Amino acid sequence: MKRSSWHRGLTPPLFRAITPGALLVLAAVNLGPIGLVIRQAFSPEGESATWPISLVPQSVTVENLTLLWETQSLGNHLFLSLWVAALTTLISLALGFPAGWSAARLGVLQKIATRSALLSRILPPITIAIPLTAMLIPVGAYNHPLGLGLVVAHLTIGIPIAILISFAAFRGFPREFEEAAYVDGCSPLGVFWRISLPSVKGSLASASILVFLVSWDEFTYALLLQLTNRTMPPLVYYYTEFGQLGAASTLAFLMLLPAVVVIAALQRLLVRGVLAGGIK
Amino acid sequence: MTFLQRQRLAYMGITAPALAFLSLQVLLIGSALVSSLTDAQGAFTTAHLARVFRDPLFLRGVTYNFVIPFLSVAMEAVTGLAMALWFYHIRRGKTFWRTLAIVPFAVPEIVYLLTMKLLFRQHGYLNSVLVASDLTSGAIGWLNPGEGLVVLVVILVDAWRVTPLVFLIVLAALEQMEESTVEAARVDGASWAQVIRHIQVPLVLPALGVAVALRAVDAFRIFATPLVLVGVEGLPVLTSVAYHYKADLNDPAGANVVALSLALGLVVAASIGSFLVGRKERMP
Repeated sequence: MKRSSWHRGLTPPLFRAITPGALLVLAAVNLGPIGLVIRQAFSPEGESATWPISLVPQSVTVENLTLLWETQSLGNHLFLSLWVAALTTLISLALGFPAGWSAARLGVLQKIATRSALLSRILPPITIAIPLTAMLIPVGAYNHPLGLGLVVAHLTIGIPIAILISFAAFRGFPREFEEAAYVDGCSPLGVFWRISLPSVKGSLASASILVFLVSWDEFTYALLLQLTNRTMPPLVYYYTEFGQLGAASTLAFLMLLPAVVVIAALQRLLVRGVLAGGIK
Repeated sequence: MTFLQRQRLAYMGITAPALAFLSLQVLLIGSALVSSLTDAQGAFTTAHLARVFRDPLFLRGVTYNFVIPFLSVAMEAVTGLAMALWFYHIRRGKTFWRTLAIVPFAVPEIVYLLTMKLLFRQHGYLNSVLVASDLTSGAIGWLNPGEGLVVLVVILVDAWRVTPLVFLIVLAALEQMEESTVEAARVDGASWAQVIRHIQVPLVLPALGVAVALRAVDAFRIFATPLVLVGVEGLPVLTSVAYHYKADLNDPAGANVVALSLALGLVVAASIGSFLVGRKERMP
């Protein structure tokens, strides 16, 4: 009896009154528009021009998808997006994690590495993209069929992410383990590869998911550097601009699939407290 | 070579590639600077600066580049804080509802913007529902270029996408606080308004500050939202004006002037910000 009144005292009455309704509104606001993209993707292109447009599709079809696949070589764009994201992830981690480790172990490097990573976060992509175009054209990497110029651009975002995440992870890893390995005759690089890196596997996984999705979602560089060999985000933009909302929605639907992974990844972030406790 | 020297060398060596790569950006900014101050023959000129700084589109871009981020970040801070205070009490299905709350941030930006375009365009879903249910007599021009309403819609759309970030940071701070703090205040007869005002808000203020600082940097770099929803001329911001110079006017020097103005503004603002924070921290 006393306990329940305690519990009631700890929950504001207003909260109890509005929560169910407010959660429904939140669900409608956040999921409704995504539902509309899916609805638009699987109805004929002509339907997006009807007025007033109905919330439920008049007919269901996959013609947007087949048309994009057959006439617009959708497969190539999908492959390019996946390839650029994969290559960006691989190189970002390969360069960023050793840098993050060194920064966590050596005072001088800590300042240099974290500051330059933060500065890269401040610079607007467009400021880098315009001179980068001028630099890529002579070497033939502008609008490259394998997106090599775009990978270079994405690395300026990916490497800082890898440095900052690995720096935090390695700083939390006790130095004593490394010192023990040194005493047993392990070389510095051996310590990194055999002792330190395996102990931050979790951060390695989350950094790779994060970098992959940042590259997969990235719009500004892709818009400026891949004029015709487009990745998915600028492709969605062009179809939106040309008023082909069914095609744009189909591409958006395909882009959403890896985003499901993000939600799963962020869910882990939500229970980070539990995970942090597990390390100790 | 001693062991410590060898170790130091290893640290430096494996950091070098990443730092070398990041310094590529310095090189690029340098070349942007050169391009914005030289003519086709490579001689020094202020013609690009004069051309851009007199362009009405650039001046409108500057104005909106202040108005939109300020209002957007303010909205994110208020909404994020309110949502964190609310979600603090949600216990049943906690993970599910939190995941739902961060959906706008989790979907790709371009996909989110397409959903908003489908919703707000002249013959879109929002107007269709409003007209069909007789709430308005005709379609509302939510995205009509150059009107006050479109600025509001862009701010709202921009703020809603990143509110989850503020929400998550503040909620994490709120949950680190001992529950007994709130309990004690309630036992002593504090009302909920008092608990929020005198206990919860002051304790999460540092976290809210961090979230706002993080967001402010991104907010001033706003690009895709006004571009996709309205287009460059309908609602210019500095990034989209730079894009317009490059892609539509084929004027890379002008584009560099615009983009560098924004970068300079951001670096100056960030330096002032970190200086102020640093000074505040040093105070007793």
